[in-house]
Amino acid sequence: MIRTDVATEADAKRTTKEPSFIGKRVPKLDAPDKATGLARYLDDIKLPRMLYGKILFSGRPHARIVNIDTAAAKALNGVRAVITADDIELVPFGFGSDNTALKKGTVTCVRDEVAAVAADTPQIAAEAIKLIRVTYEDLPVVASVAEALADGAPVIHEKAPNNIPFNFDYLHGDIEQGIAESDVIVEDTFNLQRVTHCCLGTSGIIAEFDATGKLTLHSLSQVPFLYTHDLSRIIGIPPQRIRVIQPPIGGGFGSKLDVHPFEPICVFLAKATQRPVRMHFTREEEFFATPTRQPMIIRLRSGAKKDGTFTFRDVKMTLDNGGRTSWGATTPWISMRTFSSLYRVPHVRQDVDVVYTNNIYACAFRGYGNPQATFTIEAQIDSLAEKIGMDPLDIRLKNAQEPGETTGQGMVLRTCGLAECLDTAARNAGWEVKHSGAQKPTHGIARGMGMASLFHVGGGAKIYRSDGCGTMLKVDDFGGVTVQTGSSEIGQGSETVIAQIVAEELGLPIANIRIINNDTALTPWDVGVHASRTTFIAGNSALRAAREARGKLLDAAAAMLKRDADEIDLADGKVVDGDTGEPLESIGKVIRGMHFGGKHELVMTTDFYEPPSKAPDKEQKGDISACYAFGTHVAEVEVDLDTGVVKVLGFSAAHDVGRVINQLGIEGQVEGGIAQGIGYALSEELKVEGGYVLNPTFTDYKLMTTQELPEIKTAFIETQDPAGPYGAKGIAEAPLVPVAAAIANAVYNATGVRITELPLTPERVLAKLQEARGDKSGETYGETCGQPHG
Amino acid sequence: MTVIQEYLAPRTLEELTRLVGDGEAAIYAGGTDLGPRWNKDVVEKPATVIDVKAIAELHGVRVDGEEVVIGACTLMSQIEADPMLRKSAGALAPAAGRVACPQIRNRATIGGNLCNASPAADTAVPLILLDAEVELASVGDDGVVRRRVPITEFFTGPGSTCRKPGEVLTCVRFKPLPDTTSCAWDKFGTRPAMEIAVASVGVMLEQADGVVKRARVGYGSVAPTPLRGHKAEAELAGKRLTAEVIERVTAAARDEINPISDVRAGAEYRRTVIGVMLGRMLNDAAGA
Repeated sequence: MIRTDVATEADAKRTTKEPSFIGKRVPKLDAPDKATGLARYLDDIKLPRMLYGKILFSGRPHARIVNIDTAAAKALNGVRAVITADDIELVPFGFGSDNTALKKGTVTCVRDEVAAVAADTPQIAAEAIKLIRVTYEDLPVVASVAEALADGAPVIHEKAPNNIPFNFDYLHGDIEQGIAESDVIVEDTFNLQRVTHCCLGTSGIIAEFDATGKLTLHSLSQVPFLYTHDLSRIIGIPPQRIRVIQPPIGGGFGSKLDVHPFEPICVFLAKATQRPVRMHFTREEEFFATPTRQPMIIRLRSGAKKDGTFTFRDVKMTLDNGGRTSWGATTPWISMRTFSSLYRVPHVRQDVDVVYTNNIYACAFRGYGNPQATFTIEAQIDSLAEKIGMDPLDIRLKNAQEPGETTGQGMVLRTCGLAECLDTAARNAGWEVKHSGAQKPTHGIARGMGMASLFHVGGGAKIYRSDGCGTMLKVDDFGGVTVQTGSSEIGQGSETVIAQIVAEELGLPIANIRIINNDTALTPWDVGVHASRTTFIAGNSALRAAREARGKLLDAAAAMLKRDADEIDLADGKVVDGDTGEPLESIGKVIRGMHFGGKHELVMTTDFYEPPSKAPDKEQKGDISACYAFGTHVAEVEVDLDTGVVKVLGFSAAHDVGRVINQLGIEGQVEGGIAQGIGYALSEELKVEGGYVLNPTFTDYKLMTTQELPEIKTAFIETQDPAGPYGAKGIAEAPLVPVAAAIANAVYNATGVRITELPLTPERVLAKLQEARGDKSGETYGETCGQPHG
Repeated sequence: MTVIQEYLAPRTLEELTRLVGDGEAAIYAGGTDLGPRWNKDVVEKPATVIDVKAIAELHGVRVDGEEVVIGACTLMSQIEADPMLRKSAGALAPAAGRVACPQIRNRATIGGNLCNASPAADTAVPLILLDAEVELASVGDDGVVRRRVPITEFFTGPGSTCRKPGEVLTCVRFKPLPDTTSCAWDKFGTRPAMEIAVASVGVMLEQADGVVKRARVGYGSVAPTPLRGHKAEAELAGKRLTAEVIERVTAAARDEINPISDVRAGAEYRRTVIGVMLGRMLNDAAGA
């Protein structure tokens, strides 16, 4: 909620005025430096006496370490330190406390860190790594969840003798009742692949100690305050002696929510050498030695009544956790919210087994379990619609929530634009003509259209005891404003949004606003960049700090001009008449008057914003977010029936974003999410066989390029959420969530073939098409294909 | 430690052939294949690198008597845009235009594409359709010695050619295709840009009165080397492009290739798309 003590009647009057910056197309503040190469990324930072660190990974999926011989590596000229688990105190960390910085005893995946070196040059470090001799005794490899759950499977971690370390079960309503109420029921098993973040900037860190033992980290963490706390335990240095400075971060997407082993390792190397040490992953290391999205097997059953009313969803998920556990193992906490609350469903059950394997392990990735859940739900909605003879749009509209509803999981939808998103996305895509009037395939090419919606948190998520963000703001003599915010910029454009909000409140140009957001020594606490929360939470905090500063300026200006504070306003760097807009005085002059004049005041304000959300109860129910985001995507595809190639011809997206703050930024966010989602749908897969990563390069890990992207139509539904800054909700993760589901539904519409696995590679699609038409030759397409909905 | 000790940049072919010596040095043109391999430790960096880009003779497209000559250092982007090649080199210019991305095409050379000897080399199949030859030069007692090798004999395996130690590829030569011929080529990948072919196929047809007088077929990424399609050609020779003939040709094509299953695609799928692409090309030719 906006604090009423700083909001005035004048604020109310102003809301009817055309804003100067809110809703406008504002280029990102960091864009010029990034576009011209001036931005100083991690590998541009070279500290005096700095060494280069490198890690020896196990390269074996499951083995016992018999011996590590570091003598030859230590003897190499230019090597300053070689460390193994014997050289450090091993503190377990990660969500399952099953990880350590370096591994002792057993390695459980190919990326397990076994030893590390610091050397004068990266080349010497790489050479030294090759000289470390490790003797292993190989253990039986558990290469899949099926193998892990089989009778007599090798035990990967003693504390989970059945290889199932966690369950995330959920229930609302009564599944048996839901089944009884259903006229139609569908059941499928879905298989969702492993994909990885593909951040442009690879992982890295610089660790340096000062002479008193204080540690400064140049870190790419997207959660610097939680990170400091977690890391502190692992390295045995109190948090108050750790400072985290973030250079520009070349993409996060959830990959930087954990403390990763390379980070404490780099600290241990810096400690051992008493010199700064930089570690920076190669692209290959980035592919195999950083966590991925969870592969999931999801068995879903859902039902509906004849009139289209949804009755129940019963889901059993099996997650390939890999050989260790990161925060990402908790994604079922989010997927259960999708199962429970994407459209109105009275009876929902989620049953989850998180399973250890000897594969590389998974972590958070944009959407956090939501894309997987949405893929399954939206596929079955189309199946249910077909069974009862309803248009896919109509059945969704029938079950779309209305504002004011509370979902089965206790989330209160104070604003909800889902029905409008459905209508808008469908209309912009030409749904009526292109979906229902699907053409017969010509020359082996079939066309179709499909849709899917999304539900996600839009006002943070109270996962920790605080979901807040702090702001410190000062206005200098000439109207320059420095905003210190706890929130981090990871490419999502948050600093631009904060600058827009502050500029709007203070009537100053954006060029006057400087954002400090990358140094824990300067910035107040924030929980971090996750849960699509930064615009909402950090935006609200910045708004409140700016409103307080605005109040001080207006009061001082009113006294100076002998006017009532309610009658004047701030705009274009001036104090103006609130009604006529006539300039009365420059803001700079008012500030200088406060500073050098009568009261000798500086304009400085602070704020800590804690959203009005509630931590979930022990059944995982409750109003976890201050508001909720909705959206609908419609994809139009072309399927080559002879080769299985799926081409996305067009995309229409409508999102309930509360209110647009930066039109340019939000379009980019949506388009970026769709690009990432098309890759998830069609081509991306990090292939792991027998525990080994088969395609750790961009040659064989197929990201979409600009060439493959269709025209994207974006629409924003402004529901004006009362809790949001100017009414805004978070958008961040949302645009990725429904993409694969919409595309798979379009492929179904085009071909009549339902594919329950991703990605929809040509080879997989062709195999399914051939299976459906009962041929093996792959050279003809029969009459059975196409036009499934008349 | 792998560090390049010596960087040489000869100005003439004669200098180059003398410097190449026993063939231990790496011959460096665009560097679009060598650079990534060195960086990723796929191959050891050599002690000596010989940059061949300063040799004028190795650049550009020219006519030599009845033949078109493409210098080894000619860029993919130049081949893509060259008016003469676009007119008379069949599928070569379009195929060069499908190599990787514009940035790579502005560095990568045809000589590098061939000497690298990937079964997926995009220019190889179009050159098979042209009956092209490559010219190899080495140092002899009286200066430069040259020999010619048909493109189909040049490749001997994945990453290997018949180029002997001390030999350098100087140019590609072929007779321009007459107007009575038509060419088609396509490659298949899981996305259009930055794609290494999962399978590629090309066909050259000379038809008169609806009858195929002469045919050339070539395949990429479906055997250890780029491959000429003798069996498919035999099914085409003297025939009209009826549905039955096309069916027999594509069956022959699927039969005579020898693809593998790897991380990019399965062998059976490669056979399928070769048949589909070739069938579509022949259907287009039949309709034209």
